[in-house]
Amino acid sequence: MTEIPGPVPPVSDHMLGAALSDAILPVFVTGTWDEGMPVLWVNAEFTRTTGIHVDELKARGTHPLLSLVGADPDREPGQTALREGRPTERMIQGLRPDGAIGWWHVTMSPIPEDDGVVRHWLGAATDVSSYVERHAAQLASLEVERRERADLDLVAQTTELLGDLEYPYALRDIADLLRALVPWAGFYLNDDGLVFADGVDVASPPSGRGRRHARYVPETPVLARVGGPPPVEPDVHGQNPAPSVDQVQDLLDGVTDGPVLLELDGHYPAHSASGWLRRDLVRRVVEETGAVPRSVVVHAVAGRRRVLGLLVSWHGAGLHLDGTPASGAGATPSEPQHVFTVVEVVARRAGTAIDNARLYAREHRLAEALQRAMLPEQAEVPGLDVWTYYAPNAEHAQVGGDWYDVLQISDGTVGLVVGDVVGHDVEAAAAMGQLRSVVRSYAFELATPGVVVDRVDQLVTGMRIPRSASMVYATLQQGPDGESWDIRYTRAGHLPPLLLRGGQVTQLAGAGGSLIGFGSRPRETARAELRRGDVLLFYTDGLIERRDRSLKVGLDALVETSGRITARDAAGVGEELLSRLADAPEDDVALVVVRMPDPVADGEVQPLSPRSRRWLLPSEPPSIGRARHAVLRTCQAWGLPESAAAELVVSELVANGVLHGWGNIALRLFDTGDGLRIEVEDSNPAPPVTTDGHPNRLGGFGMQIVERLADWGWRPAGSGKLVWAKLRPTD
Amino acid sequence: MIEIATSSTTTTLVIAGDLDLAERDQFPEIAARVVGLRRQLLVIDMCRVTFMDSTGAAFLISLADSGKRRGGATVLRGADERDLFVLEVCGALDLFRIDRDHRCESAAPPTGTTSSPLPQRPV
Repeated sequence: MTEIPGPVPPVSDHMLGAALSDAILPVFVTGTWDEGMPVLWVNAEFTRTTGIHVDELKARGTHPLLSLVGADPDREPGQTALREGRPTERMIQGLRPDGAIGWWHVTMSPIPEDDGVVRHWLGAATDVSSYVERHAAQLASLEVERRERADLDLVAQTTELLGDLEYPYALRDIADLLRALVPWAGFYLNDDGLVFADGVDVASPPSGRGRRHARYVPETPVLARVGGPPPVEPDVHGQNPAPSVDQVQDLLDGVTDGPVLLELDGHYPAHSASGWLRRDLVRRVVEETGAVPRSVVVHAVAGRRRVLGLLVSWHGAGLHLDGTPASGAGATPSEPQHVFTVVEVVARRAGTAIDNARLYAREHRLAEALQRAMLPEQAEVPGLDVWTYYAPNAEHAQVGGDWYDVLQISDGTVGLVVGDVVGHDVEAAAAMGQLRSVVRSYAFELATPGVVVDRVDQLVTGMRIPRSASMVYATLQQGPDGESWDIRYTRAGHLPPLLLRGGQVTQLAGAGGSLIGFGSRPRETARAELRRGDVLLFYTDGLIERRDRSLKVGLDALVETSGRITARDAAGVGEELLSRLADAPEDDVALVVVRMPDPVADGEVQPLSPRSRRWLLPSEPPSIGRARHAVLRTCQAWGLPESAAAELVVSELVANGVLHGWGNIALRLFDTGDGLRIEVEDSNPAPPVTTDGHPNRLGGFGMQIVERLADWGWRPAGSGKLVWAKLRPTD
Repeated sequence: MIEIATSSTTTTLVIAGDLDLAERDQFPEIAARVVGLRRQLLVIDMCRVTFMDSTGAAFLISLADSGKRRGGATVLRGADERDLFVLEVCGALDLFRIDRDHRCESAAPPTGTTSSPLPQRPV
């Protein structure tokens, strides 16, 4: 040993030995792995920590240290290292003398000797229990946090899905989300009996009514193999007395709030809620997960006034098809608190959303039915070009007091009504509906307009219709040579119709009388003649009435405008009038334009009228044909070649409007100079749907046809949407 | 208007007028009657059809499809270019045998249109 100069004396072998003996770390020396790692020496701290003396360890045979070790996650690699003579470290769990469990970090290193052979190992252990506990607690709180975040996220996604119940698989997607928490979940709706639901039919959402649950459920043959519940249970009158309590029905009736635990191996009457649900659930869960459920948790999906359906979740208790228990089998399936909360929240939100959809659908059906009842009648009259227009004042929603009817009374005779009930509210609309029916019935019964309105007066006085109304009623009768029509008309407090002939405008101001239901004089009937190329104009005061001018000035403006009209089709005449007079109407506007086509003169002059047309069509299938005729006539008037394609595109777009749209359908045509532009507008804001063609699912090809013939798109318009298509010019 | 005529082997459906949504209400009954006759061959005479859109096409397709599932065939005669275009867009042309040689008896009413070319099936 060499003397090293300096203030501190060098460390001696003796000091090293003493240091190990007195270290505050448990230290020990063992033999090699092959010798069974006998413990040859331990320090005092080792004995104190483990409570075991070295002699005791020596007595425990080979690998005595293993007897001290509990959990040992890295045992395999550690032992391999010991066998191969490499140093190793690992975390082990062991019992303290007081019986508590502790964690140690243990290092083992070979003690080298001069000849290079390893005969001894030095081991040291550090107590890391507090560190491990802290770490575990951290992990656990992280896990709780993560789970809470995931639950919130799930609820948020659910809310988003519930926002669009028109999507047919909204409920299925929500159930799929829940299946991140539980092995299986699904919705059932009660609509005249329970039914499994992928989505909600928003047109007729579930009623929540129904106490007999008898929808067909196919049998599940696999059940017998695994000793599952019997496929068919006896009915109420059968041999086995059924349990008197139908928990699921109680839930549906709102007798209990739930959730309830439904045992699926019990016996229930076949058509009871519990019995039906058990049958359907077992089949579904077996098909979808391959396991036979023993019990499920059933939450009520409650609306405001009644329970609309059920949200069923299975928590994994049951059997696999091979008979081995599925996870959680044997134990009573309990819903962990956080799962319970999420499922409960989802069920509650689904209930509210479905209820809203139901209420909205009911209101909508009611409004649609009433609106349909008030639709104008517009007969296609052979030999006449008729165009009609009705725009309720935008501020007063979709109801108004103006109305028109074009009635085919008999071959060669047409009845024309334009009227105006005072006011814009629902009462005005209701009065209008009554008046319209009265006029229609007398129009078909009696020929002379004066007589018809006389009878209307009498009836209206008796019916006590609460609003006063004005109207013009006219009949058109085709002359024997077919070259002209005989006009007979009477006016009840209404502005005079106009007759346009070769730039001259005549006010049909004869046969004037008081408002409907007033006056004692009999109504008169005046006459005029409609010749080829003539236009007859019926309108309500909304067309000319403005706050800043008198009705007289407005009428003069209308007469002046009408004199300048050049269009050769009824729709064109209407377009010119609207574009010049009624682009900002303050009142409802109803307009009927009747033109007698002139085959000779119409083709000669190219009119200067604007190359745009509009029609307002009631939402009913006959409107589709009407729209096609409109586009054909317009293509002819504008000399456009692509009428075959235009007819097809218009037919598809208007059919979509009738099928899926709300309210009236507005059709507009524009000549862009580079192909016809078609616009179809309705009040449903939902965008048009293109389905990819599938041979087994008919329908849905409409937009594909449009796509092949035109560039198309859509945008929100007003409260609804506008779908446009621009025909590609044919080469 | 749709008329059904039948012989021992063939059902003939003579369609006149527009074949669109407005006619849809009568489709199920006619389809049921055609299926009920169980003839091997269904001939659909379109000579007097004035217009057909995807709703009408869907009806013809359902007829041809149920015929095909029973091993029968459906012949389409008197269909104009636009009708065939609609069926092609619906991906259903191969359900039909198209009788291109048929000449309609009475002067078939024009489909309301001059026959302007429609886009052809992309090759």
